[in-house]
Amino acid sequence: MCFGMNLDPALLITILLLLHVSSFLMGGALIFILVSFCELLLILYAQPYFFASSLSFFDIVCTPYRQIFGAIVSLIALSTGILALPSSKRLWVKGSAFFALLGIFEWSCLMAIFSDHALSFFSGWEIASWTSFLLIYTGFPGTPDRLSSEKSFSILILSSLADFCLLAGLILLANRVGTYSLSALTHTSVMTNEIIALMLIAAFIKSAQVPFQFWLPKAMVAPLPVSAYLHSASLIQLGAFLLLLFWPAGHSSLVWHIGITTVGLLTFSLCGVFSLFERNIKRALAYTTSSTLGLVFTLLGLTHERALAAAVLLIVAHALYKSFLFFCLGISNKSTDHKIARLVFYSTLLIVLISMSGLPFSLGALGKDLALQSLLGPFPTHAVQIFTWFCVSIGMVANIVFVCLFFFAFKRGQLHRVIEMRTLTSFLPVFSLLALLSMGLGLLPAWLFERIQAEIGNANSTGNSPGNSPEVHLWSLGIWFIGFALALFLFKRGWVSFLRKSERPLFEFSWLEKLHSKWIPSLCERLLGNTENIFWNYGLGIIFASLFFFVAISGFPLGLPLRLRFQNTYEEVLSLTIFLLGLGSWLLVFIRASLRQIFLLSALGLGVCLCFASAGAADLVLTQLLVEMISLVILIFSWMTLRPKERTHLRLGENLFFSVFAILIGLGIALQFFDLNLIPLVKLASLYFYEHASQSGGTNLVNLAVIEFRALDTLGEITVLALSFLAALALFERVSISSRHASQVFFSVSIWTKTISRILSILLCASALFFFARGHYSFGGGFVGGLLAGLALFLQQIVFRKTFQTPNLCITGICISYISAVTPILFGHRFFETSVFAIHGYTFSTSFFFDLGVFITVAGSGAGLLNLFTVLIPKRSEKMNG
Amino acid sequence: MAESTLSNFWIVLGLGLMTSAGLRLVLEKPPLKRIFGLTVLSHAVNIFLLLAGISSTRELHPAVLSGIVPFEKLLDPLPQALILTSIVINFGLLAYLLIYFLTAERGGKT
Repeated sequence: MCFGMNLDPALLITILLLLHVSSFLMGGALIFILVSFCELLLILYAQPYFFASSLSFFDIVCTPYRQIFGAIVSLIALSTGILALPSSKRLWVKGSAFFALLGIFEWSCLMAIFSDHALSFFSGWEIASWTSFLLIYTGFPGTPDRLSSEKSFSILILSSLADFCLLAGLILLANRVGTYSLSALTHTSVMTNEIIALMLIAAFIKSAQVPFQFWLPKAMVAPLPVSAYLHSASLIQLGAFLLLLFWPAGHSSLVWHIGITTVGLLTFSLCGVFSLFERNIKRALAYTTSSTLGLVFTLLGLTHERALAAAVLLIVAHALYKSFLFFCLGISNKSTDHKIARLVFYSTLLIVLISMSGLPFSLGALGKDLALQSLLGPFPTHAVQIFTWFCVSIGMVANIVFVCLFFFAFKRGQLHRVIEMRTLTSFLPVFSLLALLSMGLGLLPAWLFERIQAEIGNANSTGNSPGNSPEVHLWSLGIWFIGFALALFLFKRGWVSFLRKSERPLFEFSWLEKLHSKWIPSLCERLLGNTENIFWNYGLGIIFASLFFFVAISGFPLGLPLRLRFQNTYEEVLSLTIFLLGLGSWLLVFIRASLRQIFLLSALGLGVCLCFASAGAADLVLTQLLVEMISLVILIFSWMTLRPKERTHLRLGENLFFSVFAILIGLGIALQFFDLNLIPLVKLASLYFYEHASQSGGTNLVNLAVIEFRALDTLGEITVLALSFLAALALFERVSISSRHASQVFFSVSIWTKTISRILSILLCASALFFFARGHYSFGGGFVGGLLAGLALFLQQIVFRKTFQTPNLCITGICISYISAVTPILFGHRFFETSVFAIHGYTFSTSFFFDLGVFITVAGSGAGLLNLFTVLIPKRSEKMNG
Repeated sequence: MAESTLSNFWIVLGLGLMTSAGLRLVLEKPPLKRIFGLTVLSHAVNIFLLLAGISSTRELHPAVLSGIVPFEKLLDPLPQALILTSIVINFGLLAYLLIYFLTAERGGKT
């Protein structure tokens, strides 16, 4: 340091550079000398124990994917060296030692990747792991952090275990095959389960997969360049390289597939979630590395070539973007003061994050797309499919949340920084080049895909270029929405530990605020006719309704002008109705008065009825219609119970954040279900088709499904209904509103009311019985009949002031249902089994009793609930006092 | 995967809007709006189920062809039964929550 004072600075830097480069090269040379020495020793003293003496330690195989790995290792090593250069400016000895270690590491990695001899593969692997440990342990000059001896010990033990497993596996395999040539070993079919297990353990430890994922975050005390190089590009990917190497040999083994895919999926989801709850940003990045490698492992566990290509693509993309993210952590605010530097930096960061989150036009997107398409493939069971897609969804959502949070944090400068060294802005272009490389590769999907297919070699692949199945894209888009919404939520609440909490809003769009709190609400008020203008009041509604009914009734081909392809009219009506329902439910958010909201809610319910009708589900229409009407009555009663202040002050549409969050989540979920075949639903319908006619003697399939085969479900359903009524009653009595209120009705009953009610209740009773009786054969059934009967009872209660013991009715109904369910057991049948009798030519089914129970329960609880609401309404005098 | 004819843009948009409106209402403060939100969400879920039933019965079953089953436009009965249950349970929930809310109001007043 001191003898450099009188020298020219340019000369000094040149000397320094030469010194570092030469120590880097010396490190590499050291490896070769060491390996040659080992080989000499082996040849001299251990000749008789080796099978193929012709095979040298320096035999090289160049397959395409080895080239890819080698290119990544050298490229990232180069940029890491450049990144580390400025910090070691004044440290001659330590800097040189660092570069020598780096050189040893790179060349040993390259040896492991290109060598054809199993033992030199192993020695490359071994030297790489020891050197990496030294790199972590000695630390970079000037860094305060050192690996504590406890942590370093556990890492050392674990990596030794990996090395031991690999060596044992290789020697066992070589003994079985009779050669040490890797190209022969990797294509054998004599892999036993023990050998595979040993290899897998080595790979899992090296790539930090789930049971062993803890060492990678611990190793993150290493300096930034080391983390960027070892833990994103080279060392961590040796495990994946091992699997890729033995991919053809492990192909036929079940242990191989199940082990790799299960561990990979678990890592992908779990480490993704862990990364969000990690306090230190470097450790969080380590978890995302594990997570991505989990997806790579999952792909390597599959059998077809496309998955292999996807895995290689993901590895390349990951190496390119992850090293830049580490580099970002070293950037301080001061070094981005220069305008152009800041521009370059932020655009690069954007490109990198796009690649990481898998947005289109990037290498990451290509990899992820290919990966998802490989995961579409046939599954052994539904359970496996559900597990796979569950894990993949969780992992991808976590990934996107992480990316968004990283971006937000950078935008706001909120990262808990771990600046160990300040990277200079002048070295930014190197990393920008890496990012641009990934972008450039991502822009050429077809070319790249052909290249991969040609090089990795595909006998079975059908030549599908990526981007052929739109479901996957929509699915990813949905995932993106959900992830973005969750990231916004977490950021807003400050629940992420690697971010500092902040009160300032993330984005400030004043026009959006205005749109949300002023313009849309006023438009909605107008749409619902809250003006004096007669056009807004009536004209719009009439035009709208007539258009709708024109389409619904005449079957006008609406699809043509909108460029939609419908199969028939009912689908048109269905999709139009659903769309209008969506708009209507947002209307509900924006209007203010609550009575209007109640009516709008009922209108939505009727719209749902229309959906059911256009799909041809008669039972659903009946039930929904009745339930909707009763709900309307209940809601209006509760509105009348509210104090006047609360009726008007229930304003909505204030919080923009909630709206954005809700829209993102809602659209995300809808896109997830865009194609329901991605997520299997249980399709048991044919079972019902086959069994209904022979066993239960009815024709209404829905009701049969309810009464005969899915009766347990219905039993639960009426139990819930009865319980809700009884619980409401209990609540009601708890607040000590005495039951004498029950007889006092809130309106006066005229003679006309009485007359009409008398006729109505007779009609209601008749229709209740009618629907109850025909439920077995045509639409209707116990539930619909019960609701109608409940209405009749309610009418009697409210108009003629009769009191029915509705709780008792309810309990009686439940008892009848349960007894009818249990009775078949006494006669040696199954629980709930229906028997059909023929009496005088009329078939009679025992499920009638169960239906009767449903009828009585629903009637009792419906009437009771309605009555409760009328009692709650305060009398006029009481209201005045309040 | 190509047979699912109902996958069109308007349905997805409508369903997404419905779900999000339900979620938005549930996130509100006043209890009455939360109850509305639950209702809207349950409507959305019911329609999801309905669509699942439509997309899975494209080909006619022998039972329909032989005339035992009289429906013209046949829907999978399993989702229909699920929707029936969902409607009823949602009704029970609605009534109970309303009573809970109202009695809490009155209980606080007296």
